[in-house]
Amino acid sequence: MKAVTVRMGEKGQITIPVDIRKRDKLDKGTQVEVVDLGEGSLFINKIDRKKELLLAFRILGRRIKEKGYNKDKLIDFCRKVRRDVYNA
Amino acid sequence: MSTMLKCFADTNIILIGALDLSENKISDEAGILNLIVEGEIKLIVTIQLLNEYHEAAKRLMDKDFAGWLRYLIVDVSKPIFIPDDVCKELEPKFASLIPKEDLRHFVCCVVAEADYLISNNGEFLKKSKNDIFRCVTPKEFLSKEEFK
Repeated sequence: MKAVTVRMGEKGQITIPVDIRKRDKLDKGTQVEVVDLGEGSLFINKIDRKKELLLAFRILGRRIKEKGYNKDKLIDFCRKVRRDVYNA
Repeated sequence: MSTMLKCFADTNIILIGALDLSENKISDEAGILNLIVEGEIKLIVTIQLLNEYHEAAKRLMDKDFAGWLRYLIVDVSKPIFIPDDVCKELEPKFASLIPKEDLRHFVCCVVAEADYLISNNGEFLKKSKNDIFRCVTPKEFLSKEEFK
């Protein structure tokens, strides 16, 4: 981990050094989130929606397991959800 | 793969795949979720199908999680959206063949000129069998040459 010094522009823009942009594939349009850690500390994180979606699937999967569903029960559960959504 | 396959992924694929992913189990359903995440197949959706994904996740988790999951599925997979109005117009044509709660999903595959309808619901697969697109289980889908 290394720290670099950059200067903020007129409209709050900063430039991430080119070597970091190349390494982390930060191209024009790439979404990043700025996390305010307080007391003047900011953390910039590249948003990776693919990883986030896989994480969401895993969280859902853990809950399904906790609730004791197996494949057959899930198929029945989905049939019921379908009927209810249709009738809503 | 030259052209991306257009696929309808039933809600049971999402849930079973999620269960298997959480257990690090290499299953056909988990494989399909990975293809969706990596953009190797093109999902076909309607608002009704997204509502089903949402409702299932809401019952298992909560409303906020369900909204987050639905947003991520759309944002990552960039699906083909078939307007429900377009489906509604065609539904009477197939109403005598397909159960009413499955009809929207079947018709959206017709409209989208889907390549595959993938489900674990045997009855849905059986009744949806047609000459326009293939109705398959996850195992049958993944046995296709390009995914071996």
